[in-house]
Amino acid sequence: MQNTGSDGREFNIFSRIHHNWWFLIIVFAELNIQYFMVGYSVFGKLFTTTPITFGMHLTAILLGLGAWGVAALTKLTPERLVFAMPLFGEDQATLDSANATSKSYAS
Amino acid sequence: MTVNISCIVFVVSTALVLGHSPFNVVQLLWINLIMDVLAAIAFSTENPHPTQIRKERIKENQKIITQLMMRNILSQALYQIITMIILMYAGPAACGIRYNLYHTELTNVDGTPSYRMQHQTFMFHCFVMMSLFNMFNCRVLGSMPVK
Repeated sequence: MQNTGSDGREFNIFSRIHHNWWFLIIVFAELNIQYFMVGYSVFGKLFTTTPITFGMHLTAILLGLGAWGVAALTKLTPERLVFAMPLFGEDQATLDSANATSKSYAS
Repeated sequence: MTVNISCIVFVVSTALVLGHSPFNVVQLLWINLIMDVLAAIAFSTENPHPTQIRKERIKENQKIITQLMMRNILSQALYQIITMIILMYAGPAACGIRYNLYHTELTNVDGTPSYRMQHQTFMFHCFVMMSLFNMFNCRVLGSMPVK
């Protein structure tokens, strides 16, 4: 149980991040293109964007970091409440009838 | 899925209130590209988590989205929606780019970008940053003890 807390909750979102280079490549490519988009007026023709001020850049990064804070807070919710949440999807009767149909086709 | 929920709620509500969409088509396409197509590639190349090596086989009728995922999705979507609505209506005053939310066009009469376009770019940038940072969150479910 590496990288997990005493009660099994995992807060470190950077654990094993270097194991997957594709993830890092894609995220940083997206970040680069995004910064070109809001930093240079050349891209404005395509995306109808315009350069924004330093304060706006700072706000955007802080809001992004806020998403990490929200995630950490979310992970503190009690287990009892989480598993009381209803799930979407087919109910058991629908699944059973679908399985029966597929079995009848297979035989 | 977080992005889908928050984007739909925010864009539809703003379009209903103001009469025009806060993002334009190319920006929405870009959001869709990075968060659905490229994120799918990024996550599908992820190795299985060493602590979550399947203790038992996944059953036929188990749901794809578990309660833990739904909890993370809904909390992030709520955060994004609230932030975007605040930015939409309080952003121009906070950044000193006040303009008429209803009537201002994207460009001024002489063709230069107006405050509305800058505000739109700002909101777009904030939305993408929140989504991109959220991609790091999605790697870790905040798992409960395996029973």
